[in-house]
Amino acid sequence: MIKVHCFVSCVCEIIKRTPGVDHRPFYFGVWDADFSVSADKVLSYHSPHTRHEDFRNWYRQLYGIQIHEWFDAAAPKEHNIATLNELLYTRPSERQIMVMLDMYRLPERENKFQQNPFPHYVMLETTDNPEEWYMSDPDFRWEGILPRAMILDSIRSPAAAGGFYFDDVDIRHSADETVAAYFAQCMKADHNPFTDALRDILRAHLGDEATQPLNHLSLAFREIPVMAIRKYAYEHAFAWFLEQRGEQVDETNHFFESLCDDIETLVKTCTRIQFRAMKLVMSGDRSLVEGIEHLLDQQDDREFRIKQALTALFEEWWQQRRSDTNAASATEHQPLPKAST
Amino acid sequence: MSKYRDSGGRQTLAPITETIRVALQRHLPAARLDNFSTHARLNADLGLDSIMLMELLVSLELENGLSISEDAFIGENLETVRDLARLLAEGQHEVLA
Repeated sequence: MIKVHCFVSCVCEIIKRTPGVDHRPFYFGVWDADFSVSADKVLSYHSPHTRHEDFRNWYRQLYGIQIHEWFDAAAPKEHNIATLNELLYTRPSERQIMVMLDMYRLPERENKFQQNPFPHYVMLETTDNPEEWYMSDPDFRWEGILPRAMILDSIRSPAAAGGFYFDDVDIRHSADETVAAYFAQCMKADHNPFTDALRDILRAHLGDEATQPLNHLSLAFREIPVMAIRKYAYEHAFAWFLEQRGEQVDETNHFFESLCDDIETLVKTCTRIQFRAMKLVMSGDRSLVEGIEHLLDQQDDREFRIKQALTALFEEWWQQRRSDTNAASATEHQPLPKAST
Repeated sequence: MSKYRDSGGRQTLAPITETIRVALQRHLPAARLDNFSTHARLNADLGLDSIMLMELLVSLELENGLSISEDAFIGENLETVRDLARLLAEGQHEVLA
């Protein structure tokens, strides 16, 4: 199972455990999910203003579940910790409680990115021992019991600021129209925001127009790996549409395997770009710039091809669904529903 | 004779391993050098993230002439100091060949 976005992984966990409901359409919003670029051109997968409104809105529309924000960004951290305590100790069995913490402050946990700080969403429950809490981390496929004090210390990190809860009752199957509208909103067919941002950041560090010193570029690109893996969300979407078409999605499906290879190259080329940028910074060899620009152009071509293939599958699915539900108008081309956010 | 080859011209990983240790000491003070050994895991034991590993690779290339190909860096599972030393030795072999 692909795990690429901690907020999405947390809210999808309960969907995956619910028969007849599929979490994969929710990943439509992940491949081009929001990120931020600061005024000094530092790329970041999270900003203090990130509240995931789009994901929360579409989660409600797709699955009928309201995600409530309990964290109050305007209140002191201790006030929020008191709120968290109250939520946890009065939790109905169906309630899922999410909190953002700083994984760097949990050395017992694997931190594959070794980022410091590393804001990350997990889910918490109390245990019979008041000094220990149960933590579920669907994004890293980890669950276990940790000292409560250690968890609270990681929540107290200035880098961590966020929390939500939702109740896993009356989860509903997503209507085709809603899935189609969500896809229409998520598919940015004419631009690739992540590659655009990388190009913009690179150019901000080079030449007469530079606004940042070249040696700042390594820091600016530091969080590329966390965002590059979001592109694996395309795999979920292809798998879902192909299964809807009645295809088996495994290693014998050469079309799917070929798409997965392209997605893998898309992700790994991000690492290649970052590596060359590091070389550029440490060597000062400006001849490397042309190669990086070329890689960025290739990324655009590659991702547009992936998006075109996915859009073709989507349109086929949509027409088939319309035909199934309205045989009388089967021959008419059905317009796509508009996103209603 | 290359210091990375023994008298019979065979590659030896010990000098490369020592070069890695020195480069870590010089360029990456956040690395947990107390845990350094041939079998130390780059991430779990030495605390190197992907960016620190890139910094290490580039410094080894610029200052010591030791390099691995981009494809090897991206495609191989670089888990331990020994994995890195082996790839650097192979890169050295390709240059000398």
